[in-house]
Amino acid sequence: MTEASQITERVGPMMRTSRSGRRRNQHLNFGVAIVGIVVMMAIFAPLLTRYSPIDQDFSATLQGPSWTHLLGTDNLGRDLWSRILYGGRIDLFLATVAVAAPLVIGTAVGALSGYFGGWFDVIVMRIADIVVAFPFYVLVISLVFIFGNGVGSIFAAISIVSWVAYARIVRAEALVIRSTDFMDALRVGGIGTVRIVFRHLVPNVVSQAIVYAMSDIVANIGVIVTLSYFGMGIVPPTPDWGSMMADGQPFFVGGYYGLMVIPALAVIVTSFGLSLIGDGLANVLRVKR
Amino acid sequence: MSEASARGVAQAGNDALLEIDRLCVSARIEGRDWQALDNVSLTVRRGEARGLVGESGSGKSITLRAAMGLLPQTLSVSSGGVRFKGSDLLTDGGKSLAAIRGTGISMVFQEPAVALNPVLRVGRQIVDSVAWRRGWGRKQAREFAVELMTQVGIRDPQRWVDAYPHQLSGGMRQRVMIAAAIACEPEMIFCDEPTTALDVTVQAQILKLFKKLQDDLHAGFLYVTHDLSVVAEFCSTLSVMYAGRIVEQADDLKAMIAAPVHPYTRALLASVPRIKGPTKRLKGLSSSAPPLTERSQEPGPSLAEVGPGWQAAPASKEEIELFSAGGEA
Repeated sequence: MTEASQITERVGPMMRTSRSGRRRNQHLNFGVAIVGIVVMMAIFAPLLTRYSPIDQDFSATLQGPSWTHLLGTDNLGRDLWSRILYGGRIDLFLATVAVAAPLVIGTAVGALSGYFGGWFDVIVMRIADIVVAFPFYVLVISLVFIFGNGVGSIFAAISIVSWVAYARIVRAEALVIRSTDFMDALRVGGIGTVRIVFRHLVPNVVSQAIVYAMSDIVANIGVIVTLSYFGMGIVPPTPDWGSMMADGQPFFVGGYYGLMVIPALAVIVTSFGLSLIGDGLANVLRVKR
Repeated sequence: MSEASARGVAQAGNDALLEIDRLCVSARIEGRDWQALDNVSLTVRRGEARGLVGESGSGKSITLRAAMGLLPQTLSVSSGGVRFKGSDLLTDGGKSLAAIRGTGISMVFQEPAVALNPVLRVGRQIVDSVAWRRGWGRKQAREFAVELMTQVGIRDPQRWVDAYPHQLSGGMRQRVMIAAAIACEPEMIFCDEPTTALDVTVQAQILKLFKKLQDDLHAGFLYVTHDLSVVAEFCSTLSVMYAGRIVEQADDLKAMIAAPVHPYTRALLASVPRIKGPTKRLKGLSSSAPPLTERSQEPGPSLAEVGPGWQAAPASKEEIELFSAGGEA
């Protein structure tokens, strides 16, 4: 290799990323790393542990960390490490799915509402006002109460409540975009309204909703864990971080701190990682605009 | 209104592509209706390029937008009609308007930076409407986009077809807009100050392109601008607007420029510097059009025939005084 090309190689990357650019990406990279590890652990749970998360073993209850049980066992002799891994599976999956549905519904409704205005807009926004008039948790908890415990009803309850936020964000952006020249240009081009809204308007307004979705996953994890902690969410014996905390609570005073603290740490670390991704994405998308 | 202009429309007969007939547009401001366009009539024939000039606020863009059904919510057509190839565009609730959009009439906008979708590749934007209407696949659409980009003089279109609008220069964006406008082989092209945002070199190139397209497509052009040099370059006929009215229009642009009748036209022409002829002090327009809410709500005087295909509004005493005074530029 010649000397010149060595120099360009060394200088190249430095020229490309400005200082602030790199710091912005640090948020994103760090978040992606954390969440990536958590997600990988959840996906490959069966490979990372020998124990089932639900099989009880009364010969080995309330053990401390050891080489056989990495994080010890709970009062029913279930391996805590396995339960954390499998609990992450269900919590992360549910949190993600419960963001996807409101994101899609809210974006579609918000875009149509902002683009058309008129009576459709009035009706949609009044419904949105009604939904946000209730405290988020009160509404979700009562909906889960009505639907009954379980994964499906958590998903339904979150979707019913949180599409509103997406609809409002997207509508506000759509109001700006709809009166731009390029929208007029499309109308003059004789392109159908549905196509204008979903192919031209939505790609212009969806980035804000995606940023919000990241922080919404965090909120969803909070909701799922809270509901399960109160015994309203995921049905035992399916492992989940919230019910694990609730189960471990009685043993906290006995000195078995891990049963409650470890699932709580799992929630905190995951939420932290997701928040970093949200921040990083917001910065990246803001630069693009 | 005027017999003269009614006769003008009749004379245009069937070869008229676009007829704007006594179009009135009113604006709703603080609960009152104000006349934004007052009996605007003009025709564009096949292969004709009509310039529509006037200062800011004279109503030239509103005329275009009304004809295209793109008026903002505060404005509405109160009377008059717009006919394209004999069929009225404004009376049947937008049905015929929808039918001619993107097939019969297309439009080139002033600001190519904001008239293109920022998040869509330019190639797909150019052919989006056509490909959608004809049910083309990706590959076919792309090929057609490249072909159109070549036609509007974009060098190396293979390289730019997948670019986003922000990666292009102003002139190239305007070429992309024009490519999108001619994609459906329109019979009529509305131009809303398409070269105003460009520097003079690029402007000259774009005007050359318009001329070439006019020869190729044999379409009618309605070219809105405030730049008289552009009109002289590209158009063959001219309508001059002032304060929501047409004050003078002629089918022979050169004759009208040589001997304008209405004092406003005279003042407007006098405000343009000339290279040939004796050096004279340049005159500015003494005042711009009054804001909408300060205009007389009486219908203006009808246009009178000056010569064949040449009409002018009779000027009132105040107008003659106002415009002939002129400001020191």
